[in-house]
Amino acid sequence: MTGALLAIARKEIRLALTYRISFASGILSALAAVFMFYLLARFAGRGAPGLLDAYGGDFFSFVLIGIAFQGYLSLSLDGMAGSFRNEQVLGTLEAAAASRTPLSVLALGSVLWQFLQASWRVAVYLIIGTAVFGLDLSKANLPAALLILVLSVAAFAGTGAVTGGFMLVYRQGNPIRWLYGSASMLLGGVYYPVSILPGWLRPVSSLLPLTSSLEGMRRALLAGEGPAGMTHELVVLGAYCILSVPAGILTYRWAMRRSRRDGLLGGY
Amino acid sequence: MAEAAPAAALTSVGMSFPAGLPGRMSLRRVPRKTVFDGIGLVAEEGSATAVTGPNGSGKTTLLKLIAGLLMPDSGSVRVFGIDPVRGHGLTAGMTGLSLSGDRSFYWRLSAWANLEYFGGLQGLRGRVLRDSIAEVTDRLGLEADSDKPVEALSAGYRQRLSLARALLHRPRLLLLDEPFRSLDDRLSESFAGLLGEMRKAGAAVIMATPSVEEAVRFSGTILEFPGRAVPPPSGKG
Repeated sequence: MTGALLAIARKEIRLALTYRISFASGILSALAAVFMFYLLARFAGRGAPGLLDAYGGDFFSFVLIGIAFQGYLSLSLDGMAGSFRNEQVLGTLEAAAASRTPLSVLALGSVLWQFLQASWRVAVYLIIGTAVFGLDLSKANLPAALLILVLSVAAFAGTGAVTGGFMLVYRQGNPIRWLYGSASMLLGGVYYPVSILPGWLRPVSSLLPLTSSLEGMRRALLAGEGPAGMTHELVVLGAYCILSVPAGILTYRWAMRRSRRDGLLGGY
Repeated sequence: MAEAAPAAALTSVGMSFPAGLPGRMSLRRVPRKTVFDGIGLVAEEGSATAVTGPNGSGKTTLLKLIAGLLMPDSGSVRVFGIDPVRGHGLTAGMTGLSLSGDRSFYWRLSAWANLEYFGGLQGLRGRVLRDSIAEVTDRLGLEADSDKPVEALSAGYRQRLSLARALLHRPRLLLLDEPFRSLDDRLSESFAGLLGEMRKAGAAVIMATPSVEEAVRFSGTILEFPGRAVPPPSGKG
């Protein structure tokens, strides 16, 4: 498997080097986003009194952590499906499927590469935010942040495998992912604390993995909290891992069987 | 046990595809269109088999079944005694597949880089991979432009690149879809020579072609589509 992953990494790097402007524009977009949220934070001031106290009281830090890590979670959701879709459109999926490397490893390699790119973007967000715009990470509890990140990625990757399976068979995303993604963006607390949601929506929000993921990440990075203070977040993310990972594996197996039965690997 | 089994053995194989657009979401059961039924074939190591018939008769489907890219509706497919779907990791390493058409490469990467990638997926690394690429590009006349992006290469070059990819890992079973289609006389001769060498070394070759003349020239065993199934000889496999 290591040899196949290295081959995939080398191929992805070579392909990325043929799109150099895209790489540069990605960094510029990240810079522009950081600056935009800095200006928004200055305009909005400290937001509604008390709502941001648990995260250090600063809207810019709050939203920057939100957009930086939401990218990881989107990737976990869409990376596998995106990889399959890309290979379908290029026409290389069937050729790769004819090799001894399973398509799951192919998707894993591609997603790992995308994670590296996402990490680079997160690093740009955090470095620029800290160096230029006063993001304060001095209290950060890095082991707790890493634990939240690993659990979040696993929880979302299970759903990502479900989406990947749908993409193999139907060549489009599935409605569950659309609902899940839209609900997460609306109720997950990327741009605002979930405490400003209407009371009847808060229970729904608290069950979404994105909410727990961002809440845990902000508390770890901005307030320096450890795992002991994040029991609810850890339980929600753990439960999603237990549910979504087997669902993802089963869906992927179904999709491979269906693809071979209906001859779907060669089309797009 | 697996060493004694034929390179490929198909018994009463039937295959169908959903009628209409593939992959459509539907709550109703989608009717299927039969491609063929009751097909049998045994390809021993070192043998040459030609599958012939008009376009759309199922020749490529048969190759994909043997390569484990498709699952049959009925019957059994075995590659060196192994189910190529369930044991894909094993059989794919022993099988080389070249399909006609040129939409199976990364067009922005060079021919060489594409071969490095697909060779890597077949488990080749380092010097072994480089030597293997050098050998197949030489035998198929690809070395001159192997540093150019695939999008800048001719359709004929891309077809030969597909053959090169199939040969990279020295497979014991070669599945070739219209392999001579884009080769000029000199390269046809060179490629036929290469196939001959591989057969002498024990590799089995199954080739699909619409040309009966080419099938007769290439092979002692001919499977003619549609509908004329050649049953596997008894006592073998």
